[in-house]
Parts: sequence; structure tokens; C-alpha cells
Amino acid sequence: MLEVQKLTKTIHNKSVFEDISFSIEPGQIIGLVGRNGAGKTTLLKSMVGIFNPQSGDVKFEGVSVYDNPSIKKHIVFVPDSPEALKSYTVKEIVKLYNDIYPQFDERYFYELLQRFSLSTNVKIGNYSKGMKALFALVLAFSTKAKLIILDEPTDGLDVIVKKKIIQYIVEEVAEKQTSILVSSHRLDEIEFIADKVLMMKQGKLDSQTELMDMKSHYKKVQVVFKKELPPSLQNANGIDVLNQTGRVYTLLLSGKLEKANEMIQSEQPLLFEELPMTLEDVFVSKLGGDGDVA
Amino acid sequence: MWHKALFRKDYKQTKFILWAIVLICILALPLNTAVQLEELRIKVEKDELDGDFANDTEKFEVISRSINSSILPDTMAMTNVILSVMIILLAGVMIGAERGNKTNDFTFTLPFSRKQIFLSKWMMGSAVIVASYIVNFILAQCIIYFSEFGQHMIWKLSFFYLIYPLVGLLAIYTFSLFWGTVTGGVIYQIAVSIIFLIFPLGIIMLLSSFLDANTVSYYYWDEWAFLRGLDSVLNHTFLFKYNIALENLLYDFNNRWFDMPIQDMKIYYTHLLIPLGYIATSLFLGVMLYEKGNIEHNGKFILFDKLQPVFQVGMVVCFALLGGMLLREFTPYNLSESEIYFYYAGFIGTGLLFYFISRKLLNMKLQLFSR
Repeated sequence: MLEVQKLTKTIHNKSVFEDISFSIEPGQIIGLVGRNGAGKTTLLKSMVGIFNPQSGDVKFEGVSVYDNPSIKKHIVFVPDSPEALKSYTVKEIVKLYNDIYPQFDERYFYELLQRFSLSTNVKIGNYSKGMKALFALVLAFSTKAKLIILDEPTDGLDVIVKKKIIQYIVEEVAEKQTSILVSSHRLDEIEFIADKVLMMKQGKLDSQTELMDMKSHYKKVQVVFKKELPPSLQNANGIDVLNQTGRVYTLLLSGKLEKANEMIQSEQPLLFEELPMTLEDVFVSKLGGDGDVA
Repeated sequence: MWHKALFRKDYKQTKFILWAIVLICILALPLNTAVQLEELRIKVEKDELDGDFANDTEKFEVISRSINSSILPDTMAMTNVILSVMIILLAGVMIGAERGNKTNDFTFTLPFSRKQIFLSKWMMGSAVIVASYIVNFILAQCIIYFSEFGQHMIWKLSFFYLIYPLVGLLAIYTFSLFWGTVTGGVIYQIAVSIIFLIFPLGIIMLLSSFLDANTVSYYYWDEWAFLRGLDSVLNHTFLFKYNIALENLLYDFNNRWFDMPIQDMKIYYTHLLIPLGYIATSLFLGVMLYEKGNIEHNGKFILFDKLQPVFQVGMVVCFALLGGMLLREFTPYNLSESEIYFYYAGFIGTGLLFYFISRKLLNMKLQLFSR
């Protein structure tokens, strides 16, 4: 449905991201993760035409969003806060969105406002931060767009609102087959809702992992040796140290899991135990480093 | 090109200025005309009582002259000064202010091309300017026409007073809108628009001071063909000439302006080519740069890295010339022989100062307008 083809963006002759390619299928939820400054927001903004990319293309159902911006009536971008609309009243926004998006469902929109107890007689600027975030989501889903791009939708919100938002997104996708691309630092949320995770590292797409497959690609184990971690394991491919407490090591195994297993067993560990793995473990292992916030 | 959604969005953003423009046209054109007619009425009565008119022909000529070369151009000039300010502000809010908040991001995510967005802003502003100006101009003309002075109206002059200012105002709007595609915020846009609108007269002043200081007197410009040509070109490209200094324009058309009967005044429309040229060029370049503009630079003085050196050199040279001119003015009378040293002290000092200021200005990102 949406195809990002070799997208590259530079600012002041410095590459923000390069050669990014991926695709989104109908009804799919894709999580975009990466450390601060990895280029996530710039990528999302370039995909919807806010920024001009240096090269590459974004095609929605085969049509370039740059050459034919009218195709963007099927795509809605929800920024981290709907600041641009804060001077509008709810009624003014409804009129505006009715003009922009032919499929905008006004009745459904008001139903959702009622469901989330959002007042209809105020300016958006008068909503609290959480209400604004919810409102932006309700507005986006009411356009009946086929793809909704969310930039940090739960950033800075309290747990109750976060829960509501996540639940609402999952419901919408299940019912209407809307596709979602969501960037977030909340890996637990991404893990809960996403089908696939894109990891960005230093402006490049480091990996694209289906969450269902994650368990077959990675394994988290806790091991204890007589002394410290044997040198053969320290620099081994496919073995990353997630944590160390004394002689207790938490390792993330990736790639050929059998081979990594054998290597560890050959060093005769005192303890070898498999632990439940989270997306955060993969994130720390793949994108962590020497505290280098890009 | 004209999409209701863009119209609605731009209207929401600019409605206060748009209505201010309408209000200014109503107050300044019909109301001011009515007041001026009343003053004329009192003056004519007084002159009649004082026996100032030798005969009816003289009375007719005096009234005709008052209406056509005083009331109309004065009303126009006053209105157009205020309208020009409002129009520059309107262009600033249309483009520059969008760069200061997240509205620019929102606009560019909408299913419209940047060309559509820019032209929609131009069309909306232009439509309001044209409609409110024409309607109120016609109302003002009706007030004169249906008064006892109706017979004194000269239609070719009325048309001149309508068409030149109107095209001039549209040129100011388009020109200011164009600067919004180059600069990164509303204050920069308004400042650069005003600087370039007065640039033709300003640069004449700066160059004449430079030539004067270097012994080529301004009074000898006529003997220098290229300077004469430059002076003439710069004078003609001064946009305010077409909507505020209307009497100067009439003088250009009729050298013996004050001696000739008012109905014999000649009007030419070829001069409209200059504001029309401004409109066409600004529109063409505006669309092109709006499409290419990198909005990640919003908040910076200039959006395009490649234009920064051009602006830096221009700024340093112009301020150096200004510094030289000002310091030369302060040369003590008994040291007038040394005024060239004063000139160059001002030139180099201000040039250096603005070299450092321009470096800072071009590289900083105003927090007020940061994204």
C-alpha cells in the first residue's frame, strides 16, 4: 500500500537519514524506534511532504506523494501535539476537515468525542495535553484515511490516557483495517500494538523485524561462569551482553541461536537459564552503545 | 487551484487583517470623500462670498481642480499609505507567521501541492484587496457624482486614480508574499519586504552620497549617461510611486501640470507595466521558491543556504554606505576639506560592524519562531 523507496534527507550538508526503504501493508501496525536524534521525526515529516527529501520517493498505491499530493487525502499525519489547530473550535475543525477529506465521518467523530468525554464547545487550545492527543487521534481516524502516521502519540501523557489511546488504536485497526506507522520511545507500547518494528540507527534503517518472528531470531539467557565471561564469548558474533551483576550475565543471542547456544555450553556455565525477552532487550542490544545520544 | 479548505484555513489565520483592510477602504474612501466634499462646499461658499471667483468659468476650473487633483489623490494617498502597511502585514501573516508555529507543518501535510497553497494565499489576499478597493472606490465616486459637484468629475482621471493604486497595491502584496518564501519568519519577511520596497530610493541616496564624497557631485549626474539611466530606472521601480505619490506620476505624464486645464491632462497606462512586472516576477519566483523551500530552516533569516552570502554582502555594503553617509553629515564645518576621511571612517566602521552582525543574524535561529 505505501512504499518508501530509498529516501534520503540532508540538512546543512549533513545526512539525517539515507537510503531508507520499507513498505506498509493494509491493516499493519508498524513501530518506528530509534534513539534520540536517529532521524525518526524527520523521516515521518519527509514521508508526508513537510520536508523535501534529497532523493527517493514515497508511493501510496503506486502514486508518488510528492508528484501527486492529492493522494495524501488517504494519509493523515498526527504530530506529537496538534499545536496548529489550537486556535480552532471543534466546529471549525469539522468544517475544515469536511473540506479536506472527502470521507470525513462527522457523525462518527462526534460519537468518539462523546465516548472520550471531550467537550465540543471549546477551542482545542483549551484542552489538556492528554485531551489534545486524544482529540488528534479521533480527528485522524474520523477522516477514514487508509494510513495514519503517528509521531510520539503518548509522549508526556499520564498512564490512564496512554492506555485509552493504545486501546483505541488497536480497536480502530482491528475494525477498519487502517494501517498505522507509529514512532515512539515507549517500547512496551510498540511491542503491545505493532506487527513489525523498524529500528533506525544513525540515519539508517538498522533492521525490520516482524514481532512474531522476534522470538525465533533472538533469545535472552542468564548465565553464570566460575569466573568472568570467557573471552571466546565476549567478542562472539550473535552474543551481546545486556547486563552484568557480579558473575551473573544477561545475554542476548541473535542470528544462529543453536550455534550461540553451543558456544556457551562449551564453556560449561554454572547456570544457564532462558528468560522472557522484550523489545527493549533487542533495542538496547542493537541500538545501545557508549551513551552516544546522536 | 482555489480550494475551499485552503481558503478556510487562510481566512482563519488572517481574518483580522482582512477585515481591517475592508474597514480601512470603507472609512478612508467613501467617508473621507464625503468629509472632503463638505470642506470643499464650505470653501466654495466662502470664496463666493469673498468674491474670489472672477467668473463662472474660473469657479468651474477651481472646483474641477480641487476634486480631480486634490480631493481624489489626497484621499487615495492617505488610504494607500495605511493599506500598504496592512498589506505587508497580511503577506507576513499569510506566510511568515505560519513558519513561527506548527501551522506550516500542518499545511504541508494536506493533500495540496505547495504551488496550490501559495497561489491560494495570493488569490485570497488579492481578491479581498481588489474587491474592497473597487467597491469602496465606486461608492466614493458615487458620493461625488450624486453631489452638486458631479458635473466636475473627469472619468479618465477617476479611472487613473482607481487602476494605478490598485495594481500598485497588488504589486506590494505579491512582492511581500514573495519575500515570505525566502525568509524564515514573519519579522524577517516584513523587514526585508519594507527594505526592498524602499530600496530604489534608498540606494539613490546612498550612491549619491558616495559619489559626492568622492568628488563626483550628485548635481552632475545628468552628465553621466549611466547614472542618469540608473536614476531613472530606480525611480520607476519605486512601487509606492504607483499608489501613494500619484501627483508625481501625473507630473511625469504632464510636464506643465499646474498650468494646463485639468481636463486636458494626459494619462498613459504604459507605466502600469512596472507594477505588473513586479506581480508577474514575484509570483513566478514565489511559486518556485515556495516549492523548493526547506522548512526545517524556519526561524532562520534566510531559508536557502546559497542565498546567504548574497544577503551578507548586500547588507554589509548597504550599511557601510549608510555609515559613510551619516558620518560625513557630521563633519565639522571647519574640517569640510577632510570629509572624505569622515566618510570612509563611517564606511569601514559600519561595514565591519555589520559584517559581524550579519554573520550572527544569518546563522541564528530565532527561538520565537523555532519549530
